[in-house]
Amino acid sequence: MNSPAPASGLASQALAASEPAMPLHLVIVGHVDHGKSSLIGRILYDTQSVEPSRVEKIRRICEEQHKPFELAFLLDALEEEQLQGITIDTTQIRFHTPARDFVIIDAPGHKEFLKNMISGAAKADAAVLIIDAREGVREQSRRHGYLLSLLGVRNIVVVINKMDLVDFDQAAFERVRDEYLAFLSEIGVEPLQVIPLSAFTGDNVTTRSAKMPWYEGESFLGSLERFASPEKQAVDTLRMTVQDVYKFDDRRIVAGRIHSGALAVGDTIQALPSGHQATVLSIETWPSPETPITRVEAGYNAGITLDYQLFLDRGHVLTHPGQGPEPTRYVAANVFWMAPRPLTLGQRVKLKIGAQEAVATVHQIKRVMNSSTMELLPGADGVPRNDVGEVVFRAEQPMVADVYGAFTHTARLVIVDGYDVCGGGIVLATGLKGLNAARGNVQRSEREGANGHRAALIAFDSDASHPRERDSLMRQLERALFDAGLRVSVASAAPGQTQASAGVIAALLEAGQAVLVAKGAFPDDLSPDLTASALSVDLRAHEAALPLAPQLAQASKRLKDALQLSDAASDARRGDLGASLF
Amino acid sequence: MDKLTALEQESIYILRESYKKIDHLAMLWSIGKDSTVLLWLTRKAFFGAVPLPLVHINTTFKIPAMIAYRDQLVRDWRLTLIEGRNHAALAEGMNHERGRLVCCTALKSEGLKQTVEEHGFGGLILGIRGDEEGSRGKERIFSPRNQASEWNAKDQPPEFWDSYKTDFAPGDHIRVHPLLRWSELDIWRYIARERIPVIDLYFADERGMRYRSLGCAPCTFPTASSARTVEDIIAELETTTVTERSGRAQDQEDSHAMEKLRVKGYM
Repeated sequence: MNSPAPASGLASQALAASEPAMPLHLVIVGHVDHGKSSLIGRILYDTQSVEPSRVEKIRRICEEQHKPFELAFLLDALEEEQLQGITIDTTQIRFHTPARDFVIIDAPGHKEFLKNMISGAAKADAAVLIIDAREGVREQSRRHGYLLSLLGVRNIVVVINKMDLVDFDQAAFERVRDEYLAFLSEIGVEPLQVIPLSAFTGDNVTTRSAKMPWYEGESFLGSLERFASPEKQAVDTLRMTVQDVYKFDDRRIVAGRIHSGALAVGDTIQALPSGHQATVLSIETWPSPETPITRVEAGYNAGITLDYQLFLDRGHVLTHPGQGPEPTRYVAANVFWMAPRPLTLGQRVKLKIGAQEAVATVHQIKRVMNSSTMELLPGADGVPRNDVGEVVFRAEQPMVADVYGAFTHTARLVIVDGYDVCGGGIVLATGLKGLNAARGNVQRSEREGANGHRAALIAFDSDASHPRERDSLMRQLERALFDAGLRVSVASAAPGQTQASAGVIAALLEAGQAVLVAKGAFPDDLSPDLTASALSVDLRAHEAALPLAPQLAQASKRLKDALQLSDAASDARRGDLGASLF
Repeated sequence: MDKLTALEQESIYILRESYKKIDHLAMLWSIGKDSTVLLWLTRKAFFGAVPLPLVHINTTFKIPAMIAYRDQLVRDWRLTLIEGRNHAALAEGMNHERGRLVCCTALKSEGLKQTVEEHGFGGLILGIRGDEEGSRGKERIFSPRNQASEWNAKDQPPEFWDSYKTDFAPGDHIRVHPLLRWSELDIWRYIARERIPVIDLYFADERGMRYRSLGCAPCTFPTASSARTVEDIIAELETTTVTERSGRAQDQEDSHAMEKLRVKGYM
């Protein structure tokens, strides 16, 4: 028995030369029967990456089932998969070339198994989209292409397979290529390469084929070797999600994963959503290193102790002060849905963003699309299984979310319904301000054009001593504005509540309306800049020199002027007033 | 980040996630290299503590050195050990001569099921790896089991990004597989890097034989090897064309032996 010796828990030291680098994780997707498993089998066989005994076992199974030898069985290991000749679930298998190590992820092509395809593809650094040269672009070719972009897989190679069945014909290849490239460009995907090959005969798989002299690019394997390595996080702003807090001994260790940026002993950090601040006292590891670790960076699970026992718990996000997103209850996301029953308006679900969990309601469904054709499904009141949509959630407590782009981990959400993971999505916008900026089918500016004036939030104040009296004055102003041709509504507090609903206000603004809210009824969860940019009206009904009617007329005229669309002066004002509204 | 560190960090994340989200969690410990690495990662995840019981399903046919090594490590690392046995099957003389799959199902799968029920475990952490065998390659990291401990391989929950299934219907439990993405070579390189103690059975004896995979004495056979150190093992595995479980007789019983075992609750 050899004895344990202290080893460094955090490899913040330079990487030893002998340490193997992370292999490239590659997912192969495409329509059913376009040759995913065969291509993988071919690569494994040609690179001698499979033990002979495994090949023997496959040979035996094929004989038992009276089938021709099928390399795809290396991956389709489940009995049901082999009996039916289909891929039900995803699997991973390693292979390597002298230049590089790879992990291939095989993902099923049947629409019924889309959740399994997503499970596989989400782990990939790069993707291969495979298309049958005879069949051309099919339903899953398009759907998989789009889902890859939603899942954040950006390195993409397209292969046109079964070239042997079209006599290695250049025109046949170009037809399929052009059709697919046209679709991919619609969804903003630009593949690095399009390669004609035959997994069955091996042409253009590991070496350039003489049968397609018209093709000037590299073999499939050659192009894989040139794939960029998994990208490092694009930002160096700290995001650490708290996974748990431990007290196994006298230390109180806050444990969590650092998704971006770095953390050092002595740093002041801020916990969101609470906003509390504390200083990092130590970075804990086991076994204890000879010299204490003073810094930990993205990719590592950190354990830290703090000088101030702020109430930290799972789900908090740690940042450096002022560098985090505004906590919000409103999150708009591009969502893919995998459950049999559609995701519908008003449905209560559990949202997970990293380690955060909150009950949330589907507050708005902005648009729903067929995930294969990208066509809008007009009038859909829910996101059907295997399709995608832009959905706004309203969480029951503030959540910390970034907009997808520079940040990824804090910008992805997972939707749980009952006991099941049913969907996922990437965050497009957060907070009411962001929601208004998120793309909808009809832009707010269009609605404003139709209404003939800008949407705005109007804070109403008066010296009325009783809320009911104040509300009555506000209703009169509403009438005056309506009679003056404005689309206007009052957002008041629901019975038994003191505050108007931020969601209602957001929806009315989105509809291009002028929204009156009593100053005392402003919701706490309204984004601060929306509050700051509200127009204000103050009616002093009881002490003012003017009687009420002229006061109302004056107020409504002032407001109408402020909300004009075409007037250059109001356009200028729109700049400062509207920055947060539009 | 190098590959071993990336794998280590992913496993630590999974261990912490399961510890936080699953009540009555235990870890299955088979005394082999994988579950010993898993134990090491657990100590890393919890800063030296092992805050959950270890479960060893004793078929009573284990290679004797394994039990001695197990008890030694329990003392050295101050572990909580729960030993499970299918007493009824052992009492009526179950053994591999009645059929290897029958015996594995009774003494391992059933033994595990009884232990889970007896202690009311809501979750079990296991050291299985996806590259060991085809049906394990199809597994999820958080893999639900119904009340009968069955695995529904044809309908598994989606698992993407860093999110795992952590909500279950009453009575269901979960198996967590933190080493699912590790290969045999990764395990040995990590043992070398971290200097983790492993049982001597993995090293070549004076006959020039070593075990690559450990199990019950009647069904587990050593392979020819001259590897006497962890470094030798790494060098051997870099070039071998023999599969890891070639010395495990139950795998050879049927083309889909492992899947059939696993659907019924085998590890």
